Amino acid sequence: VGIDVQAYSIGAFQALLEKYSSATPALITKKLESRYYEDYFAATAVKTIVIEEPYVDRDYLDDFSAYYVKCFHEYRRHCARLHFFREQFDAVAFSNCVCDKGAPLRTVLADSYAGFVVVRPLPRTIIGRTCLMHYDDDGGRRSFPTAIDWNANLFGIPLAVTTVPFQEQDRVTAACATSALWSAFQVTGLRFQHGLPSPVEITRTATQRMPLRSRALPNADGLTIEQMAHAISMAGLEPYYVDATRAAILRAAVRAYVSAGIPALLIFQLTGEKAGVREVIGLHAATVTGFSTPPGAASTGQFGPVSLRSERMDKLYVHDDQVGPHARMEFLTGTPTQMSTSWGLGGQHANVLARAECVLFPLYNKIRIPFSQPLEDLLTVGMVLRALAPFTASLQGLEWDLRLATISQFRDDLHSWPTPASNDHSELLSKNLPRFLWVATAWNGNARIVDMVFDATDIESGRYILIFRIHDSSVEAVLRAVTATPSSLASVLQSVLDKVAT
Amino acid sequence: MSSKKSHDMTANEQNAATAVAEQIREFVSSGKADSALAPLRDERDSAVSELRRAQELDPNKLRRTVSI
Repeated sequence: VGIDVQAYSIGAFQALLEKYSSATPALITKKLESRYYEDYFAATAVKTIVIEEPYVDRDYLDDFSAYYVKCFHEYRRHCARLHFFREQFDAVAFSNCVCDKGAPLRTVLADSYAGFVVVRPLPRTIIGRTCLMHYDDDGGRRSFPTAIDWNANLFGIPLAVTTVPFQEQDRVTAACATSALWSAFQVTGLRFQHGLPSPVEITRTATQRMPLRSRALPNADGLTIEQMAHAISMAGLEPYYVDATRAAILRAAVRAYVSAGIPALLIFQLTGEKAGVREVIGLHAATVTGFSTPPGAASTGQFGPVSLRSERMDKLYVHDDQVGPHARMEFLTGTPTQMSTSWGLGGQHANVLARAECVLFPLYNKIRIPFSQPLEDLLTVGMVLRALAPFTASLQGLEWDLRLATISQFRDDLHSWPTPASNDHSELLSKNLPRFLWVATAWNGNARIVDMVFDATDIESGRYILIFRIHDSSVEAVLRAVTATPSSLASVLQSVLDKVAT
Repeated sequence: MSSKKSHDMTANEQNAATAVAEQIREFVSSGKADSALAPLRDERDSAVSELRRAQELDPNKLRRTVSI
């Protein structure tokens, strides 16, 4: 069987990109200069590449039929797909495995599959659909809740990778805004059951009712933030906008929504140094796929009277179509929100920084209560508990965590709650609950102290707190005493308790 | 509010609860509760204001082009 199998090296990868695209060696060298892919493949310990060619890529074919086919130059309509494995094997062993359904190598292939990269037959923007495994969780520090299981079939061998699809903008049917939306829709399409528009469909939909100042195709001007929101609406989702200039709010919003597997569209201004002078490069968009939260003591309470777990978040992982999948953006100190990037290495600018502007969340229509509402209630309860901290050690050094959860995620998480007096969680597990919930937990070290569970599908004026559970008996004694004694503390606490569903 | 042990308190826990109730009454009547709450309330109100501002849509910002 004439199947091409190669040992991985960055040189082999570069040669394959040259072979299956129309890019010049100089351009590919420049593209790989950032060492992003080299570092990524080293971190994921890739050892072997299997080439599938020709490969029909649905998204490229859509873009091809909408644009490239009408060019005078004859562009190819087929791509190549490079599959990556973390085990070594050769072409003979692989060919035998393709023909033998019971071959032991099939299990090795399935276990060591690191994903694939589609190579487009274009002269510059050659990275098509890319489904590569994300970094490991590093003992719980890294989190990629948006990742979905993606199936691939290689010559009859079923393979799967947990990933968020990525692709580079082609600057014709898609600029960065379209590519970021495309990645987000690949995830939300699976989670919320909507169609998966190709890049050209996203660009056309976004510009249909809100034309750009110049032509939409080729999409050299990108999209406005308003058009990105419109594209989200046209996919059947609700765009939710949050200003991200304050890092604490960006972190809290990302932790709240991305924890439930909803990708965020981060829009940021890039600046870089050129000849020693920092200048504005422009506005860019990337898809947030995960985040890093190093272990440590409770955060220092930079947002209101409480410490939020999101304050410990030190990095975002983003699909940045100018860098690569799961690229790191590290929070730097200062306001407005400054972040490091992997940009500029080999480009015109050095030390490229990002200033976060806003974030858009593509939400299912039943996620109605925004994160700010339970966060306001959390701030109120947290404020009362902090005032009462001298009365019990359980309230000293509390750290709060707020995140969206589906009912399945919530029920799964319930097993880690302290066991109630009834000795099991059957009452809560069998409780009739909505599909989407906000869960606010107060932690003291590894001990859960308080959980508040909110109905995310309710109206804002509703009694939307479904569960208010105090796990610690000393805290319960303090709060009972407070509610029994008329005071400003009691009335503040009561303002939240009035929202508990009866 | 609900607790894992709300219907299953031991005598010791009852005594502790009574003592805490007395301490809280003293905390409130001495005015220390209000003093403790005031600065926290300011911090809370400031955070809530920022949170609400972060969700206000600025048409000029929304019309900026994302094009890198």
